[in-house]
Amino acid sequence: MINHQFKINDQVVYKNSCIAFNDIYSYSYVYTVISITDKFIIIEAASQAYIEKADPAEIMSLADAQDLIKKLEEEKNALEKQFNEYKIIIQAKLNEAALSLKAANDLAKKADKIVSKCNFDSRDLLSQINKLGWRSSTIECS
Amino acid sequence: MNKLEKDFDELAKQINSKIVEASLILKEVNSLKNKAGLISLIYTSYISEDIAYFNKGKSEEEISQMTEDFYQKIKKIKVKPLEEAISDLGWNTSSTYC
Repeated sequence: MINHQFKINDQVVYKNSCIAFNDIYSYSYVYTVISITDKFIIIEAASQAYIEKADPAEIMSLADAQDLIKKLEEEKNALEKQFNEYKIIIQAKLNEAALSLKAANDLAKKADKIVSKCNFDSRDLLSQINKLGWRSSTIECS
Repeated sequence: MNKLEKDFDELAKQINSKIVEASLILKEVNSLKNKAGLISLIYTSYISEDIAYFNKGKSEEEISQMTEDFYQKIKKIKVKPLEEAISDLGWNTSSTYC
């Protein structure tokens, strides 16, 4: 279970604590914090007055809010699952590429050569490395 | 062409073959990386700027959250074996992070 932290005016809001809001008419209403997610907090109104005066687009029922959270969490889990599938293949491929490069290095050592200093077919390799995030211009300067 | 040169040419062919093999594998990795929604496989000091560049219009807070999400994903992928292999070939990767 992740303990999300939610701040209002730089104050950390805790579950079961009470918070107060002023409405557009400066009436203050107290709410109890029921649940905290990474996106928002669910508060239980002590009075319906605020809800009646507030923009309906900004307020939803507790049941709807919980449905929305459930939906968001399901979407998040699906995305995480998909990412984990990609991660496994990426990891396997990275290790495979590392082994190929190690083999290239072992062969170069036999001839007392350093691959980066010789005229091997490394342009495409550096281009791919660059696309993966390492800046080949920095690498090539070494 | 003397024997030494012939031997080296043969060795060079094998080296090139391994380099091309690695390039093709990394090309696949790049394609997978894009499908996984990652802009990079490493977390560098300029990654936040890169994320902001590819997500114009997003607020500072959203970019900060996206950067954190990216970090959480990226730390699950171990790139050290590849970095070490690149380094052994004579290319320096450590300065990329600065």
